[in-house]
Amino acid sequence: MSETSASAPAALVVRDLQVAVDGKQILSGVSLSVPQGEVHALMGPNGAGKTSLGYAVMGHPKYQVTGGEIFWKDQTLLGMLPENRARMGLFLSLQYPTAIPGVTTVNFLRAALKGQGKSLAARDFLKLVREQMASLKMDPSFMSRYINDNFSGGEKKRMEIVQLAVLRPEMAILDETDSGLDVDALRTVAEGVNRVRSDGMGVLIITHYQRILDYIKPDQVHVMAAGRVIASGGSELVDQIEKDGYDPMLRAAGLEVNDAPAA
Amino acid sequence: MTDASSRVTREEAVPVALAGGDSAWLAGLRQAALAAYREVPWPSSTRDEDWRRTPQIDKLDPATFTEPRPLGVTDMPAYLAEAVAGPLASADVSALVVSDECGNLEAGAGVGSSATAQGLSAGIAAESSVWQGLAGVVAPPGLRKWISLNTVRTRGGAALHVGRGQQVDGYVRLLHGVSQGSASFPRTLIKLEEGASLTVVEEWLSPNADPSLLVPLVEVELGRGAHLTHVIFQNCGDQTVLQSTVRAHVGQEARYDLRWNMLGAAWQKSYFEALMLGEGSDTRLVGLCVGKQRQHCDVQTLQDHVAPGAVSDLLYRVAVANRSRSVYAGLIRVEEGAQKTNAYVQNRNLLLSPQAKSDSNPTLEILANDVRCTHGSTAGRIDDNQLFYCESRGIEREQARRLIIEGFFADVVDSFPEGTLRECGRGLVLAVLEELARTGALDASRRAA
Repeated sequence: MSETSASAPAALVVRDLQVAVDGKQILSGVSLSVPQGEVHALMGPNGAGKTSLGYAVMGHPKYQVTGGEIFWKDQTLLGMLPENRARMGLFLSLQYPTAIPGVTTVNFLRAALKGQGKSLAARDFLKLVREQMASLKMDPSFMSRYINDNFSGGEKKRMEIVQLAVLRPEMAILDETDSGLDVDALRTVAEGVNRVRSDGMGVLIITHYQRILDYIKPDQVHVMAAGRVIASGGSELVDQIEKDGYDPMLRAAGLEVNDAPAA
Repeated sequence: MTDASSRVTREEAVPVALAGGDSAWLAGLRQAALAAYREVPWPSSTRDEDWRRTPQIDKLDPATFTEPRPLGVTDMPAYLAEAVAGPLASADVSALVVSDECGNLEAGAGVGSSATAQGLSAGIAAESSVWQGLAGVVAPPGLRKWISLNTVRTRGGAALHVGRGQQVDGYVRLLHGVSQGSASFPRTLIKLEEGASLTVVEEWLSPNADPSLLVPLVEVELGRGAHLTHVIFQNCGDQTVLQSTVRAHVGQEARYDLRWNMLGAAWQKSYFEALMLGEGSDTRLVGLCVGKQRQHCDVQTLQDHVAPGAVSDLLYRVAVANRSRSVYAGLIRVEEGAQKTNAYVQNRNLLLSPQAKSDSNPTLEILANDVRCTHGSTAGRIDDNQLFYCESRGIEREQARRLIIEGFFADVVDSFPEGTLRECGRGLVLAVLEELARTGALDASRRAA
């Protein structure tokens, strides 16, 4: 459905993915591919299953894969623990990052780097974290604060991108990283993502808005509704959605147009 | 009953051991304690609310522990000698007192122009007028069986007296041990005169394997504006029964900082009690416990506000693994007239296995009408979202659990005095987590999507 014409091999391949949460079907046959180094946007109305797709790719145990496949660089991810997916180069930036009281940001990041086999000398590590925090315009005091604990929504999002920059994954799924950010913070975050992208990182941006896509230009756009991808195309899809909303696409896909779809 | 070291009944256990060689005053105190001991019935899990969840008491008989064998003062048992040389042996130690069931093995010293930290009998002999108003007064023998028993039988311990306005640098180190299948009843007496300040570190110890009974009793009296920092590390052996009491009289504008770190013993009942007798005092009681295997840790606390305008704040965090169990009861009592009291009690429990249990019961008893008191308790497993967050960043699950548990204790550990004491507290927690990880106690079943 979304095979690209680019020469880069498809790195992340999701094929006919079906996912259930507590026995309830959430994804009913999602297919999409993101080639190495490309930026893809994933859009769609609330409750379409975008966040669930991110969790399923990262291996959250609550999201049970009941059918289909997920490949990363030709290797199946199914049955693989989240930490092993991270070690293979995947990263999921959460829409609502989790606070862990008592665990400082530096200790968390040190453990993450160590877990991924990327430990640095203490001085290099602290320098790296300090630099990345500075470029995300975060005060150094956040290093010794408990991760995400009593952070504002914007601070949490910036901390996700600090982690992205420290961990340097090959593929990042950014789940509504733009939501709750003001114009300046959005630019700071987008620039942060772009700096890591220059190393060839692929990105799947889950978003409701065009704004972040002005900074991080997508090679492809996918639109999800009712647990599957209903349209894939170029960035013209974004303009179309801005102009007409999702209704025409939903109708074309034979889906009911409903103002308040189930979450 | 011709042989004192052979088995005697629970009730007969004490008279056999009534110590000799006391001053008239101390002998009198012991006689009164003996009378109290005979009057107070043995604790019972069926009759006493305090003991309802700790039925181990019903089978405990102090008479089954052997009488102390005479040891030379220089003949320190190996486990105590090792502890003495342990991580708390820093340059900050201003005096060292060591005791076990045989009495005092290391005698302490003067620690300032008008401050002394000595072994119990030497301290009492030197300043009996000071201790007459404290020993058996802060912890009256009639209050509980273990208090009377300690008072009758104590041989070793420490007496710490800091004179008016004296600030003692560093910390005084007290080690109380029991070994060789024995019972030991250490007594610590601490008195700070007006404006004095002192940091005391107590270690409650025993070796693994041999059953033993350790019954420490600590009495504290703080004069006006005095500040005591009191840190307790309980690291008893896995067959030891611990019955401890810490009871403090907190005077006007005094500050009492009590910290406890409980990791050892087969089972224990520990009382921590602060009586706010002076206006405007400030008491912080902060502690932690990690339970493993079949350990049973019963902690009971009292914040008794007698005088008005005092603050007391208690935070107790517990993690229970394997089949261990935690029991906690905490009472804030605000007496009539103790207006403007600020009192808090909070107990949080982390359940690390489905077979581990925690009972928590913080209560308020308020007889004044202008006070602010809150209490709370929680119990739960490690949060799945926190685990996933760690794992999604590449942190392996067992490591993630360790990180989250360490984080759970962070506010307790960080409340220990900065430096050696805090690092030692952190190190002990990490060592237990390491042991839990090694024995598979942090290895929850896994499934991936």
